[in-house]
Amino acid sequence: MGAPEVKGANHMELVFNLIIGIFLLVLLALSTNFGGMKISTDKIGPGGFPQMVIVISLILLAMISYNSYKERGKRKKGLFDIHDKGLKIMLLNIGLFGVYIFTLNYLGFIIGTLLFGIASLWNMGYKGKAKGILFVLILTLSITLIFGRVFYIALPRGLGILRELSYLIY
Amino acid sequence: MEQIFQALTIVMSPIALMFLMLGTAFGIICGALPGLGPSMAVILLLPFTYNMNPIVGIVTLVAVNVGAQAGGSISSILLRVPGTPSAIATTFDGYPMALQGKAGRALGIAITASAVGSIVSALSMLVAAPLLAKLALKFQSAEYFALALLGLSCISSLGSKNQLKSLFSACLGLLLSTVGLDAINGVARFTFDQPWLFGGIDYIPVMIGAYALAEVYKNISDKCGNRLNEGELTQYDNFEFIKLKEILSKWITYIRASIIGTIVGIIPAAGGSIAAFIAYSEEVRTSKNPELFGTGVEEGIIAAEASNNGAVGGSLVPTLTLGIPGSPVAAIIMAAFMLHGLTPGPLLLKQQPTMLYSIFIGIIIASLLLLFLGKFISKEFAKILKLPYPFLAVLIMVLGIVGAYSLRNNFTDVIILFVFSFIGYYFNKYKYSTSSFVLGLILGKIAENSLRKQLIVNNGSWMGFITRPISLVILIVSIMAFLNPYIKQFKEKKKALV
Amino acid sequence: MKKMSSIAMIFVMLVSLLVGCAQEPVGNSNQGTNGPEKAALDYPKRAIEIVVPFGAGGSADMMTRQMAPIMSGIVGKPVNVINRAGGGGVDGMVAVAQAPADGYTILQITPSHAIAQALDRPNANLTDDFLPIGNFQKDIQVFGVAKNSPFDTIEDLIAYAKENPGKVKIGGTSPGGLDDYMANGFAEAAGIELTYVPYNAAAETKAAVLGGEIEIYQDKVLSFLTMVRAGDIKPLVVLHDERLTMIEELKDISCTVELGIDFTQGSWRGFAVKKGTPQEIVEYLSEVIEAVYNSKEYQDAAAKDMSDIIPGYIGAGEYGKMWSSEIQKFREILSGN
Repeated sequence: MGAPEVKGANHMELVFNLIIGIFLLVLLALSTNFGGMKISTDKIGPGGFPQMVIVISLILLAMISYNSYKERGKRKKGLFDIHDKGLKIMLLNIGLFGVYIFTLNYLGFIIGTLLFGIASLWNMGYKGKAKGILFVLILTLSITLIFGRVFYIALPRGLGILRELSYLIY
Repeated sequence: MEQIFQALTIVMSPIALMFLMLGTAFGIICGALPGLGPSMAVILLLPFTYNMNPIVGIVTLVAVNVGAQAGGSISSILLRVPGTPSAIATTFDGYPMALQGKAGRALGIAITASAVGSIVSALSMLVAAPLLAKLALKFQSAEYFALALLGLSCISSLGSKNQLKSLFSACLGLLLSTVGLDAINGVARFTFDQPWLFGGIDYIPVMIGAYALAEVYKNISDKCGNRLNEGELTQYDNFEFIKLKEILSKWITYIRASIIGTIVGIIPAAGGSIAAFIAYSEEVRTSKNPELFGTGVEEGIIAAEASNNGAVGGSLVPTLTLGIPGSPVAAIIMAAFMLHGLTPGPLLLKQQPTMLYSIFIGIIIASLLLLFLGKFISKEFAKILKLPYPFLAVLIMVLGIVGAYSLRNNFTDVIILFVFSFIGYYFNKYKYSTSSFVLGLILGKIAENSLRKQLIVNNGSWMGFITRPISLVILIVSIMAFLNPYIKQFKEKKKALV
Repeated sequence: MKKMSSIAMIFVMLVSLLVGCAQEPVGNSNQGTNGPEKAALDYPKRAIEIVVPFGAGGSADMMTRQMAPIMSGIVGKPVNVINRAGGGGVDGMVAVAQAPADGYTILQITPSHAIAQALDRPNANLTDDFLPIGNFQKDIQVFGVAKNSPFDTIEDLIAYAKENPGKVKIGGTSPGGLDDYMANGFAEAAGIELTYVPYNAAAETKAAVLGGEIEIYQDKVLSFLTMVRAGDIKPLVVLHDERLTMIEELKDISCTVELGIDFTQGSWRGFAVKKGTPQEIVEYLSEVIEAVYNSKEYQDAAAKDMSDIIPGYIGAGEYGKMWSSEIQKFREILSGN
């Protein structure tokens, strides 16, 4: 698929690697301060294992970065090709998903899922309106009933009146 | 002999058979729904067994466990959402098979392997329970550490595309496993003073996010942009019964995985998920084509599923003979014994020998039921694959949230799921290995803690790992397994030069 | 469209099947027969939730699942058990603290919560955020060794430990938890030094003792007894102020106080509600808990699985005082090192 060659693609990976590397160094610094040993024969201590893993990770990261630097420009497609239609839909959908998750505790599972389901189907370009709404309705109700009534898993209820109403269902 | 007959009359009575069937079916459904593991399934049915004959009650609960371990494979194969922790390894080859339009065959293999695994473990339980219990006690910290390494050794085979990145992913997983309160001296590590990080990061939400959601993101971007239609699950074959001839032709895989599952299941600190990883990596190590694993190899599914069901019978061995539950589910089953006023242990086996035989027969019947119920139930679940993709995407995202949440009824896990869906997406895009990452996360805790514990109990000496024979053997095998792909590469290069 | 409707059918069938299965017989509406007088109290109007802040299958969870149906029979509404594990019991505690103080969400508590407060863990404040409604079960800790161990009495063990400080290892679950406290508290009172090795689960500790990795096995009476009956463990000492003469296997085992070791401790499991819950609901709930405890159904079940070896019920007022004294004790020993 003749995706245009994006020169910056590999630079992007290198930038990511640099960020990960710095983050690992911060963790390494943190791991030296884990507090004293309680047991004298615990030679490794709480910091030893993470330190070992971080050092190995840093070495591997350096090798990976070197390889991808050598092969720069060979890659066809970057992480973000902004002109791609599918990518836009995906990002928007992730946005919707994020909103859904972060409002779940306020709206409750039932209303949140109904809204997210319909918005997400619409965003993905699903045509059949009635079918879409029917599907979301069945999905929400069956999950709420199966998990709430059979398995006694109280999915987020929401706040205030929504909380009271949810008790009628599960 | 008389006891076997007695056990048969109890277990084969119509009422007992009905409970067995209901239990197995309930187990399969619970296993297939993400977030509801075998523990939840068993505990939900526990109250119904209060008033049953103790033997029928216990056998029913065991059947639930058998069903749940098998049911986990259904969502692993169809949705790439592991239904239970022990079905993670099933996604490695199960989901690629489904992508190739062979979901029905993959399900058939998974269910058959589960049944074989249960039967083999039941047989070994019956024949060698006291002996196996002694073996279980040989596994101490040093052996746990060696086992964790053996499980980790399959990262080198998982990362055939890019070794460095696979190793790096595993290291990140290991690092992530150290977040939270240290299990040896209780200090907070990498918690940044956030109380919700004190308990550490649970691997189930990480896994659902990094596997299933990341895959959904990719598919939305590919399909809704009307680009490639690669990997679309439009073709779907029917559930396939695996013929006896086929089972026999791969008997080594079935038996090896079942035995690994049984042995790992006996060990209290390790359960079905670790059994599945070890069996999987052993399968890769001994295979002629290790590079094909992860692309939909049938042996991969067999190894994962036969071993996690093998762990069911295995975990009952120390429960019955020593009174030490071999897994969290076995602990609940042990509680069920207590509720019936029975104390598991050698005395129980002496006073109620019928119990052991009944459990044995119960597992065999549950395994046979598994084949038929599995066909029916997985057929129903497989229908969701016929949904248009936007429906499937919404379904997986919502189920992902419910699965992460219902694990502990804790909203933190939902946030973790969301965060790791991005990491999974990034990993896929840049050819890092999500599987190695999850493996590191799961085995990290057990590797670190058993390493440190062995040093503590051995007064700070490292020699314990070498002087203990079982530990030494497993260490050598895991180093071999780890180096295997490299040696092969090296040999091929040499050949090419010649 | 046919596809859709068949899928819809399956969902509906599945739901109705499962929901149908789940309609377990909730009590037999013996409301008021042995329950407390329900004056003009308009409670409960709907199902009550009991949050167990640990995973399914633990002793706290099993206890709650045992008492919930009986409680449901008394209050006349369903009582649902919900596991909300995480953070050593703190996550569940926070969840209840965030729910409305209306008496519909009850928290199941154990010493873990008192310990979390004693260690000043964030968000863990049992005494300030919760009101006691009653304790339900009590446990006593017993120490023992594997059957092939060279130690036959606690005196042998203490003498050996005095000569070899730190050599004797004792197992337990979770660092800074109740087991850690008991190991340290006992060692301090006996004037010896023990190395505490934490495991992830009680089962692992048992395997470690039998496999010879650690010397001392400690557990609650009930789980301890299974191991003694299996013939794998020799009991050495009971952390209590009198011998447990009611148990055949332990009646000859000395208790700490008679040995001059001034340290007793056990586990306890009870219930609490969020502070701010109306007083009459708190009172009603404590009466309900007492009624459940005294009910024939519970007593029969407890006799069967022996969880009644030590009478566990403590009324609300006394229970509250016990919280403070336990937290005080935990603070002294655990923050000491």
